[in-house]
This record gives sequence, structure tokens and C-alpha cells, in this order.
Amino acid sequence: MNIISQTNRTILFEEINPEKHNLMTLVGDVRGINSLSDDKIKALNEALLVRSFDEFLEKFEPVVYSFFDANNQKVLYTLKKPENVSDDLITEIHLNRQNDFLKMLMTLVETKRSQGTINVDFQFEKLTDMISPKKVMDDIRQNRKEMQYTYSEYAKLEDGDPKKLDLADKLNVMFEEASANYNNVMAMLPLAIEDIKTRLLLGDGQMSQDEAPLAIGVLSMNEEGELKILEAPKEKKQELLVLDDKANTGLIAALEDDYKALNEDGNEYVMSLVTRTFCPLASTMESEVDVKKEVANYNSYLEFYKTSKDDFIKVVKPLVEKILGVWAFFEQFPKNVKTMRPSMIITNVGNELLARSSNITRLITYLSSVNAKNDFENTIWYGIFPSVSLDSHSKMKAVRERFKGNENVDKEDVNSVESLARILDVLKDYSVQCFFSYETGDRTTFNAMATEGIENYENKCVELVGKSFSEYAIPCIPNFTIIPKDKSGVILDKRMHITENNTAELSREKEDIMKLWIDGVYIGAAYVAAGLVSAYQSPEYLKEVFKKNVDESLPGVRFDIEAGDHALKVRTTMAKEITGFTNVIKNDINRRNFGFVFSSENAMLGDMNIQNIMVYKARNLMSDGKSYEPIYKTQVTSYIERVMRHATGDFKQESIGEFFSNKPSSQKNRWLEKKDCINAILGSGDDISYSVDQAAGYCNLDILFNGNVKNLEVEVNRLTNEG
Amino acid sequence: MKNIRIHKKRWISICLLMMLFTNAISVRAAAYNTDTATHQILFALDGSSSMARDNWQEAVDFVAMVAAMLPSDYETAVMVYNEDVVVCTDFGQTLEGQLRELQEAEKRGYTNTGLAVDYALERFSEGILGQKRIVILSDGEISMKGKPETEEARMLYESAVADAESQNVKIDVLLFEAEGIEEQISYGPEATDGFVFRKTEGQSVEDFAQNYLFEQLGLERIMLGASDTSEYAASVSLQDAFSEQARILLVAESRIEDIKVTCQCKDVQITRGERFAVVHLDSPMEKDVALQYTLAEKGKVNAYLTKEYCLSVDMEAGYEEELLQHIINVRITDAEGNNILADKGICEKIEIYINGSCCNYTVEQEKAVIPYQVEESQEISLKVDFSNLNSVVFCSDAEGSLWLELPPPEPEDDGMQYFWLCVVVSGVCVVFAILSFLLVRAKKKTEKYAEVSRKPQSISEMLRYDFSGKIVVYMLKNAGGEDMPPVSVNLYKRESREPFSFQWIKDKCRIDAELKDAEKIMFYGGENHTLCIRNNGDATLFNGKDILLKNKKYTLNYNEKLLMIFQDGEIELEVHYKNIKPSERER
Repeated sequence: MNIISQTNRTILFEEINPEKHNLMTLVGDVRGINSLSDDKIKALNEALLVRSFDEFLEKFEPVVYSFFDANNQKVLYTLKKPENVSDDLITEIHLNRQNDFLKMLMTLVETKRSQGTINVDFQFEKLTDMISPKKVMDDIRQNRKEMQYTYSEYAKLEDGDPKKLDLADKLNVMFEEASANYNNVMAMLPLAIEDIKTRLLLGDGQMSQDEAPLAIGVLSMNEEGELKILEAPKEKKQELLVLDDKANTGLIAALEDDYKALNEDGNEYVMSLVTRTFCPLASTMESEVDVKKEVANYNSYLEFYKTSKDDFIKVVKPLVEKILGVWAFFEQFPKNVKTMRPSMIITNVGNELLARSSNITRLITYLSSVNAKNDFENTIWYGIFPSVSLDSHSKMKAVRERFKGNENVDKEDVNSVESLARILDVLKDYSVQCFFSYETGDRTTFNAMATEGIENYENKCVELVGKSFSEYAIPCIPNFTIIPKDKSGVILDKRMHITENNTAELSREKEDIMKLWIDGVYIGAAYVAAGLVSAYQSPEYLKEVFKKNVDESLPGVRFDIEAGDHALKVRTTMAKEITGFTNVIKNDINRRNFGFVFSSENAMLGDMNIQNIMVYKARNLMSDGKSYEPIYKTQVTSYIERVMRHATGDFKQESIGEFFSNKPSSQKNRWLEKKDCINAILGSGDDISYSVDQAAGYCNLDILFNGNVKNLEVEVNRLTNEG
Repeated sequence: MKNIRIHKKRWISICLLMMLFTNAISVRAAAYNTDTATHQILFALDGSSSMARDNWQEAVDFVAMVAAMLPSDYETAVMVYNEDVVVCTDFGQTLEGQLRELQEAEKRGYTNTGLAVDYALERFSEGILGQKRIVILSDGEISMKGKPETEEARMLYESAVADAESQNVKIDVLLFEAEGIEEQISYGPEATDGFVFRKTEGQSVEDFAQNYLFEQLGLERIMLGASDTSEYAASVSLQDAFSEQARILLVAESRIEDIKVTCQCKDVQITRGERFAVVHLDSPMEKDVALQYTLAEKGKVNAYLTKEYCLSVDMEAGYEEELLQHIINVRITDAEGNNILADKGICEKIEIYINGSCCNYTVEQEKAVIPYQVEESQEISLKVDFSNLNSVVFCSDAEGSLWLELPPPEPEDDGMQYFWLCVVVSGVCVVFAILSFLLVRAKKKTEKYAEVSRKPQSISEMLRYDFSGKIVVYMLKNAGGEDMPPVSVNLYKRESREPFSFQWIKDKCRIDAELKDAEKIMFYGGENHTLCIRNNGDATLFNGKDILLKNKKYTLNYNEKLLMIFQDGEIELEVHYKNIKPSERER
């Protein structure tokens, strides 16, 4: 492992933020250049290489842009920054851990994992509720409590008290967070909705059986012991109770000042809304309530909120799925394991553009620089290519057709099979194994595979089989479901109407329930597959899992996840989704031995019930007509070639002999000594032999994997060139 | 060359006359006469009682499939034997008739294979120039009523094999291995350089038949594809309408029922077996054939196409005074007189060699036009290569020779009056050259222009090393801005080992854009698996940052690339030279 310190750097072929640098622009024009300088590689790593999910969010800052269209009275969202629109009219919505939608999805995954519940039993609505206005308000209530408490403590202390300064710092942070909502009408909408409900319905808006206006009362007992609720005395009907609290008065004033300072064009309504929101209700001022107007406002806000949320989700979902994919990639590696942490370099450019003939030479030059050297620090071992079109004949756009073919249907956010094939053709020359998965949707889930089997996927891969790059193509199936399509409805709230008694009431009609559909959220299988395979490259990870028989210096290149109970021990962190595949489906999978297949099965490891999704098959698309080849063979072959190139000084003939000699110090023997280890390079039953063809100048290696031979050929570096 | 002093006026007249009339020697020969067979195959089926019913049916299917697929220069005959020869058809009888004889023959009795071979040897026609083969389909047993008779039969087989060897007749055996039966005939193929197929349980006779046709007999075929449905109804492309015969072979996993063909042609014959069908089209007049079939059960069906062409080649050459070169015209016609070069798809597959070197040609007025330059009058050999058609081509005049006559040079003018004029002109030129040289040096700008050497490159040098690796072409820039997929050209598997120009690569990659002087960029193999390049044209080539000088040899190692710029930057291509893996070489 001294020669090769990492065997799990991964390249992700996806666009995250078009405003950030991408591989193409950083590599630049490569005409006349075969490889890039070290400085350029360093710059590329600084811009595009990430080692954790948080670093990914920080470097790429995935963002959605929103702006308002006055003509249509709508909020428009886009992933690309709109041109010809002034920056101050565009709102950037950052998709980070604070974004409610992303936060909801991650919470969902973690909750499901901890509960171990399959999709059919899991109560998705409890978590999807997180993006409803009610939950937004719940978060603010929590903040409000803390703000009120902190302010009251602050008000008690004398000026100059060091503790007061500390509390001031804390308050500054809280105000800063609250101020993010001030003049952002969109952010204020859920607050306004809840605020109106609170003011008009007094409480949580529960429907009452009768429509009589609510009269606050006290419980009492009359002379005969009969229980009665007598109406409490009050002066004005439409005023809310006021409690005097000097501390809260100060907080209200602070909020008003802060709002005015940040918003020169602010208005009274919004200012009142801010103070009512961020102060406890009991502290708020008296106010007149115009029921009709407030009900109209409420319904209008709710409608607008629903439409904009709908539009937001439609636009953001593909990007969110990519973000979740990256998150899932890093999730496979335990936080407590330190060595050989997986790293990911992101191209940040669309694949249709990257795969163009004029651009793909840049990818070639980049890979030549990192993968065709004896320095393996930046070597790329894996690739992730998600969202491949389900149309197995899908072509790239605007490609000159030599023969008239079918009409291409442009589908956004999916990559064509042609672009995949072109990129695979490049990756094969640099021994990069590429995990790819199909477009997300309800057709590529565990559920779908459990009913339809694996045949469809194999048929879709027909164009990729029997090619020179097939060995480096790993189809990953099925995709993971975060929220199933049929369970992705989110109830925002109900419309309000005015009763005969001029009170406000939430509607009981079904049509008035404001619901939006997230339409299913998924994670491409390629991310998880690559994440898991990257994880088990780390000897420390294997040691953590297997405890013994793991060599600390060798990577997990030869680790066969299909062997023995390896799949039970080396599992994904994703929760089970279905009860399992039927025996018919499993027999079909075993017969075909096709693909990198995940399974959601009931399994026991000792006394432990396995709640996670496991790997069932780990095969690439190279086939001998009967079976597809396991992925570890390709990895081992690449590893051996690289070690050998380094150790023999670029395949010097005399050094090759030493590499394979019977001396105890030869590399081959050192590997064989550790053959009983789980992460041995040459395991029990494996061997490696070589022969040199002097005339042709090639050295043929036969690597024996438990009786099956894999060939490798290298060009020998001869001492003298024959003239 | 004689120095003849001819009067000036007469000489000019002769020159004019020669310029007016082109030198042409036409080579024309008769089209191939397919009435004369070149090869004969006799199928001898063991009709003894030991051959199980299934084996018999499979043997008949084998014969039917092979006989139906053989090209027109093959003749077949069938024989059924037991202890005697039961039936034997003549060579050239219709396949239908032969199969009928087989079905009607009675299966019983003992087995005397030697007698069958002996009998078969007498059936071959005299004067057959190609192969003569006897294909024995049997369980391999030689047995007669008693031991002495059996021994005699074995001795007879032995001597028949020896006779076959001496007469250059090959014996092939399809052995239906059966438990309890000792085979005794497989040494026949060994002695006569034939083939033995051993059919055991689970193997299909259709696979053997395919192997026999395509691997052993070397029949050219075109893979049409595979389908996986129980019903099929679609169009099959014959690629062109010039073939004399076309045969579509369908091999299925289950029985083929109800096959229908719709096509304009002289005749259609369908031969069917348990799991195969052969559709034989005589002189198809259309490119596309409508094919429909159903299978007894859903299963895989592989489809192949074989074609035969009867072609005729016309060659002629003329001299172009203005271009100072000869123009060679080649016309290729089918049996109906149609010019096949009218089809672009066919053009791409036909190669023309002059003196062993592959030449680029353009098609004008349905003729292949090749500009050719010679230093002196000479004879050149011309060969039209049809191997890339992957079909059987009957053409007796594909090779020929042409005499290329150069007009005699202008006579030397012994007029002294021109002598001083030449001296003055030469002097001016020399002065001008010196001044230009000094001017260029004064500019302090180095322009790399080498003299275009008039010395032709050494062909032997180009042919010294073989090709290896592959090249991948990337279109970086073109006039239309469209993307063109990268194209890989496997040099290792290139059939012709001779140098090629970039024009060939352009045609292989189907690049429509005009690339001026592409034919002047030559590639050939170099030592240590390098690729050598020599550019004689106006295209600009870069290797790294270095521009490649004209007519100078450069080498490319694996993983190096060339940048090519045509039409003053309108078109830019990158050509990458790469190694290929052993598995790619095998493909």
C-alpha cells in the first residue's frame, strides 16, 4: 500500500451548479497537449474535489434561483441563473442542511434507517409534513422561545456586565437568523398563514361542531353543585388578551427597530407580522381583526404558497436527488474510520456536452494526467454516471446522423445511452470502472423490480455488452426510494371560509384541502454502489467490519462482496424498502448473474436482524456468453498493473522477472503470504504467472481467480531497441 | 528509348495526333460461367437400423441446410447406404429431388461404410478443379452379419480411405455418438485432411451445419441479427439489388412454422428443417425482402445472409495532357449489365490495387476514376478486390494489366539562338534566388518550408513494418458545428497491410466534409509498434506544439495524438493512436 495509498477516488459525471467551475473550463483547450501540469491538477482538485458531504455543499453551493413574473403573477424557479435579470431581483435559495426540503428528506432517510421499517409500513406523512407551513412555524416557535428567554436574561443584566456581552452575541445570531425572513415575502408566507389562523381561530384551528363564536369562560359550580362554564368578563370581543410583560415589550421594540433598519421600504403589516411571529402571542399588542380581509388574505397566501412550493419542488427535485446521491455516497463510509476516506471529483458539467467529440478530448487529457502516471495520489478508480435514459437507443442531441434513425425525444435531466457509451469508451483506456444507474422514477424501484424482474434491465444494456468497454461498465439496480410516488402527498392546510356568524372556519370540503405532490424522490443506485465499493477499499473499514484476518496495508481491491457472508457484513446504510424478492426473481438474478444488484431481504447475521439493503450481485457487463464478470477482477487487474509498472520501472524486462520470482522479497510472494486475509490481493486459489513475447515486445500476465484466468498484457520496456 | 532525329514539323504533327487520341488498351473477358461447377460434395447417410430415428432426421436436416446454403459453384449429391448402396442421386440434381430420395429410402440392415465411400469416389465428375468431399453421416459403426464380413467391411473402408487420399477427395464425418456403439470411421477425415464432428446429447445439428458452412468451407456471410420473439414480421435488407443469388438462413431454438417471403425476384425456394429455414432468392430485384415467420415456441432466432455476385470488370486508361498524368477508369457490371458502382454502399467495400498498392478512387459517371502518374511508359497490374463485400463473387476478369504510354518529350531545339536567352534567364533566376534568401533571413522569422522532394518515398521502407494498434478520430471543429461521434479504426485488423492515406480513414469514418489533400497524408507501420506519417499536401499537422514538415517522416507512439487542420482552420481533427488489448485483437 505504500505505492498506492488510495484505490477509491471517484469521478461523478453530473452538473451541480452551472455557476461554478467545471472540468471542461478548468482543463481548457488541449490541442497539442497530452497531459496537464501539476499546477493545473492542483487547481482542479481545489475546485472540484470533495472529501465529505459538507465540503461538497461548501464548494459547489447548490442553489435554485427564484424571481417573480409580474405578468403571470407567479414565482419562477430555475437551476441556471437567469440572464438579463438584475441580481437584486433574483433570490438564491441555497440547498444546504438548512433548507427545509433537503432537511426533510435527510431526516426521512435517517428515521427510516433507525426504525428499520419498509416503505409500505413507514409513515411518510409524518416527515413530509416538515415542509408544511405548520412545521415551519413550529421551528420558529422554538426559536422564538429561545429568543424570548435570552432577551429576558439580557434585559436583567446591567450594562457592562461581561455576561451581558455574551448574551448580546447570542442574540445577534438569533436576530440574524430571524432577519433572513424579514423582507423575503416568500419566507414570510408560511408565517403569515399560521399567524392568520392563530388570530382568527384561536389555537390550532380545530374545527368546531357548532358555528357559534367562541366565548372564553371559567369553570364553576353553582349552589346545587351543577357544573357550569360561565362566560369570562371582557370588554371588547375582537381584542386579544394582553398581558403586560416589560421584557417582551423590549423584545418587540428591538424587533421593530431591526426590521426598520433592514427594510427602508417595509410596511406596517409585515412589521406587525414579524413581531407577532417572533414574540409569544400573549405579549402582542391589541389589534382590530377584519375577519373578511384576513380570510381572503389567508386563502390567497395558501394558494400562492402551494403553487410556488409545487413549482419549486418540480424544479429542484432533480438537483436534490443529485445532492442526496452525493450524500448517500459519503454515508456509506463510517465517520469513525479515518484511513482511505473516499473522495469524489465532480465534473460539474452536463454529460451531453462533455461527451461531444470536441470536448471529450479534455476528459482524455485529464485522465491521462492522473491515471497514466506512476504517482497514484490522484488516480481515479471509479466513476458514477447516474440518470441514464430508459430508452436504450437514446442518442445525444444535435449529432450528425449518418443514417436516418428514429426521432429523438428530448427529456430533461436524463443522460443518453450514447453519451454513456462515449464516456465509457474513454474510461476503459484508463481503467476507471463506471457505476451507472437508470433515470429515477417508479419504474426503477425495488417494488418495480420485485414484480418485473431483471430481464428488462439486461435488455436495456444490450448495446453496451460485447464492447471493449463492457468490462468497465457496471449497471446498478434498482434505484433507492426516499419517498414513494404514491406516498408523497403533503397536506399544507385547508382553505378558510366565513360562517354565518361572521367567524372564520377551516373548510371541511375535500376540494379545499391544499395538497401538493412531491411525485417521488429517489437516489440513483450508482451513488450507493460506488459509495459502498469505495468504502470497502479501506483496510480500516474492513477491519472494523470483520475484526480479524484483515491486513492493514492492503486495500480491498480483491474483496468479493458476493462471497460467503460478505454481503451480510458489508451492507449499505440504506434501510430496507420491501419485504424481499420472490424466489423466482432471485433465481432469475442468479441465473443471469447480471449487474450490480441490491436486495432488500430479511436476513440474519448471528442474532442480529439485518435492516439494511445489501448487495446481491456485483458484476460488470463483460460476458463470456454464459455469465458476467465480477467487478473485483477488473479492480485487481488494474491494481496489479499499476503496482507492477511502478515496481518494474515501467515494465523493464529484467525487473519483471524479479517481480514474479520465487524470492521471498518478490512482490508476488509478498502478496501470496497474505492470501488468507480477507483483503488479500491474491487470495486462496489465486495465482499469477507471466510470459514474455520477445519478438512482439509484450508480457502476458495470467491472473488466476479461483480457477478462472484473466489476461493482462503490458508492453515490455526493452533495454535495447532493435533497429 | 531511342533518340530519333525527326524533322521538327513532322514531329509536332505526330505529337498532336497522339494528344488527340488516347492510348487505351481494353481488357475484357467473358463473365464467369456458372454452369460449370467447381466443387462437389456427396452426402452419404448411414441408413442402417442402428441409426436411431432422431439421428436420421437430424442427418437429413444437416444435408438440407448445407446443400441449400452452398453457392452456385457447388454441386451436391446424396446417397443412402447400409450393407449396400440403397440410393444415390446424380450431382446437379435439384435439392428437392435429393431430399425426396432421402425421405423415401428405407432404413434397415447392416453398415458397410467402405462400400459407400468406394461407390462415392466413382461418382465425382472428371475435371473438377476445386474441392471434392464426401460427408458421411453415421453413428460410426461398421458391422455386417458375421464377424468375417464385418472384418472385410473394415478392410474395405481402409482401402477406400486410401483411394480417397490419393484422389484428393476429403472425407468429413458427422458422428452421431451413441451408447454401446463403437465408432470406427473417424480416421478417414484424419487421413484425408477432412473434419470430424462429434454430436453428443444436447448439441444441435444446426450448429454443426453452420460450423461446416462458415468455418470449414469458409463461406462468406453477413450477420443480419437475432430476434427473441415467437413471431416475426419485418423487412430484411439485402443491402443492394445486384446480387445474382441471395440466401437467408434462419436458425431457431424451436421449430419454425409458417414462413412467408415477399420479394421481387426470378424465383424463391424455401428449404425447411426442424429448426432452420433457408430462403433462396434467385436474382432479387429489390434491396428489401419482407419476411414473416412464427415459431412453435418463443425462442432465439439467428439470421444470416449470403450472396453471390456475377461481375464483370472493364479497365481502360487515358492520358491527360494538362494534368500530366494518366486517368484509369474501371467499370464493374453485374450479369444484367447494371453498373454496381452506382451504389455508394458497394463502392466503399470495393478496393482497387495498382501494382499491389491500394488506390483511392472517385466515382464519376458510374466508373471508378483513378488518377495515376508514371515516370515512364510502363505496364501496370490492376486488381479489383471484392473481399469486403463478404459475399461469393464470380468474376474472372478482376485482375488485368494496362499499358500506360507517355507522350514523347519535346525535341531538343538545337537552335543556338535560344542558348543565350537561357543563359540570361538563368542568371536572372539565380540573382533573384539570392535576393530572396537574403530577404527572408533579414526578416528574422523562421518559416519552416522544406523543399518538396521530387524523390518518391521508398515503398519498401513503408512496407517494412506491420500495423498495430488503432486510431481514434475526434472531430474538434467543422463548418456546420454538428457533433460527430468519435470513430475508431482498428489498424491491427486491417486486411490490407499496405500503407494508406488519410482519405481511407476519412471514408472509413464517413466524414462527408471535403478534406483537401487528405490523400496526400500517408500512414504506414513503423518499428516498435509506432505509426509513421508523411504529409505531402497542404493540410497542417501538429504533433504536440510542433508542426510536421512536408514530406518528412514522423512517428507516433501509443497514446500520442496528431492535430490536423484542413481548409485553413475550417475543419480540425484530432487523431489519437492507441494500443489495443489482446481481447480486442481477437474480436
